[in-house]
Formats: sequence, structure tokens, C-alpha cells
Amino acid sequence: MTRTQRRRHLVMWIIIGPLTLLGIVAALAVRHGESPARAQEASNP
Amino acid sequence: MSVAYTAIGWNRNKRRYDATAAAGAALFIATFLAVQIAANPAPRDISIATALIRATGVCAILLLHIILAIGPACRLDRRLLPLLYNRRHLGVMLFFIALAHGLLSIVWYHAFGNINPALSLLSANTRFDSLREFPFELLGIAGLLWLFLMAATSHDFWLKNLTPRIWKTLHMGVYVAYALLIMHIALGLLQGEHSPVFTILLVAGTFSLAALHLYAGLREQSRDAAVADTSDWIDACAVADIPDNRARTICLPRGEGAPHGKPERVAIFKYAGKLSAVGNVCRHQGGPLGEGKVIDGCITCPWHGYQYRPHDGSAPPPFDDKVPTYRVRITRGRVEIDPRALPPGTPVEPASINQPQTQ
Repeated sequence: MTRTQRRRHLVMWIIIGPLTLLGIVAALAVRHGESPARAQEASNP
Repeated sequence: MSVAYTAIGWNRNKRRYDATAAAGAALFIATFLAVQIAANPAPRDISIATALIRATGVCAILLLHIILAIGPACRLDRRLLPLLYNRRHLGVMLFFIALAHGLLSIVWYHAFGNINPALSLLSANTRFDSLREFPFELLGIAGLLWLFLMAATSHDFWLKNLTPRIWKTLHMGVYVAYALLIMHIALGLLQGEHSPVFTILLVAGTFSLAALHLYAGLREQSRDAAVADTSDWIDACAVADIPDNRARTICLPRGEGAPHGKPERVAIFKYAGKLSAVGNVCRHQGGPLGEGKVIDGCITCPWHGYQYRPHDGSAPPPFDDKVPTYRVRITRGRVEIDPRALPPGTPVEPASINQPQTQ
């Protein structure tokens, strides 16, 4: 891997890592206890 | 390219690698399925189909974490390099497992009504204005499409036709696909889970992967910065630091050695009682030559087996790829290198380890 490629990977993870973790936290903060898939399953037995 | 290169370079090791990976994935899915069924005795809280959808989904995301961890792990510990050699095979396998997860989900949740399953999938939920009820399926579809794009272009045919620059950019998109798939899980599965197990695993997996990449990247950056900024011969390492038929890589001072004035690494190889130095970047796909071995007298790239002669950086006939070469000398047991790169393919007299050295 070249130095430029390594720098791109590093920058990518500096952005993607915290953003993804933030996304998980936001999703957990708004969760309502019933999975959308499971609700769909219940309405489509 | 290598001397033994063929369009489909199957060999015993690759078959064993793929068989082990496929068996591992099948075993994981079967075990996960069995545990879910055992944990939910009849009347079950979840159906067998749902359990299978979960098993393939969890297997796919676990495999994606493994694939993304292989790169930085190999940069931290070279003993893991064999895992890197056929990483593309794992990527293709990941796509098929994710595809199975997607198809099972469409069949189970969208194929039993009067509406076309594809239409049902795309129109059942349009709450784009709500994070809580966001159509997480679309995130999964976007991630799956990107995995398909990478799996479909994983062969060298596409690497050559798209050019390495475009191909690499396309495959860097795996990080975007990763973020999409994590959000697909967070807004889908985690929304209804009362058990903290999946939440803990997802947070731990994402955090560990990001930390691994950042640690490996920052470690190499600080190592590169430690090299003195000079145009004189550079003290690289002790002769004894380089294992036989292996290399030690060093980073040139900014703008000194590599072509076009860009900073680059140099791989110094020890072989047959001699030392030679070449540019660290393979002409094929930018693989790290310094992590390769000298096989049959040729430097062999660890990624796809491209080969170069150590003394002139040229691929053996009939191939014509060339990498830059560098002058090397030994002074009181230390390896020194001239940071000015010579044109690719320039022959350089190797430094002999056993002959009188520069004082």
C-alpha cells in the first residue's frame, strides 16, 4: 500500500468510524421496542 | 502478473483457503440457527425463516468485519499476511451470503401479498422523515448493491480495464457500504431487540474496527515521520535486521526519492548474501513489495504474485513491468541507501554482505 493510499484509509476511518458509532447511538436513542421487520411479520403472518 | 500467472490463478492453497472459509461460514450459520431455535422453544417467538434471515445477516456482517480487519492486522503483524492473499475471495463469498439474506427477507416479508415483492419492498415504508421508522431495508439494498459491484469487478480483468486508480477508488467504497450496512442493522434489528447482546456486539465490532485502522495508520505515519529529511545516504537498518529472502521497508524523506517527487517507501531485500533496494509499490495494483518474499530469485508481491528481479527491478521475461531501483551500501554493519530513485528497471550492483564494506 502506498503512503497516499494509507493516508486515504486513515482519513476514511477518521470520518466513517465516529459517524457510524454516532449513527448507532442515534438509532438506539429513538428505538421504540418493536422491530419494523417483526411488526411487518405480524401483519403478514 | 507472475511467471505462473493465468487468468484464473487457482492453486491448492487458494482452494484450501476458500474451502475453509466456506465451511466456517456454513458452520456459523448452522450453529447460529440451532442456538436461536433452542433459545426459542415452541411456540416460538421467532419463526424458522426469521432465524435463518438473522443467521445469514449476522454471518455477513461478521465476515465484513473480518475482511476489513485483515488489511490493518497484516500491517501490524506480518504473520497474518496469508489471510490477505485471497481477501477478494472472501469478498465474493460475503456478497453471496448477504444476497441470501436479502432474498430470504424479500420472500418472507414481501412475497405473500398481492403486490409484486420488489414493489412491496420499495413502497411498504416511505417514512424518510423519521429516524425511528426509517426504511432500513433500503440501506441494506444500497449496501448489497455496492458489495455486488465490488464482487463483480474483483477479477483482474476489471482491474486492467478500469485502470488501477478507478478500480481502487471503487473498492474504497466498501467503507461507505460498511456504514450503510451498520445503519441497516441499527435501524432494523436493533430497534426491536430487548436483549443487549446484538447492540453490544455491533458497537464493539464497529469500535474495534475503527480503532484497529486508526492505530495501524497512525503507527505507520509516525514511523515514516521519524526518518530524517536529508538527501544524503540514509541509514536504513542493521544488516541483521533483514531476514533472509525478506525485506525491510523504509520511508524516503518527502520529495527526495520516489518518482515525480512524491514520498514513497523503499523495500531493501536480503537474498543470496546480497542486498538490493526497489520501490515498495507493485506495478500491478500498488501492493507492498516489501511485505513479499524472494522466491526463485525474484521479489514476489504478496498480493497477487507479480515478480521482479531484485537487482534491476524488472519483471522476468516475457513480462515488462518495472519498478524504480536504489543504490545500497553497507557501512560497519549498517545498511545505507541513496534516496534518489533510479529510473524503473535500472540495474544496480547489489551490496554484498560478505565482501569488504565501506568504512
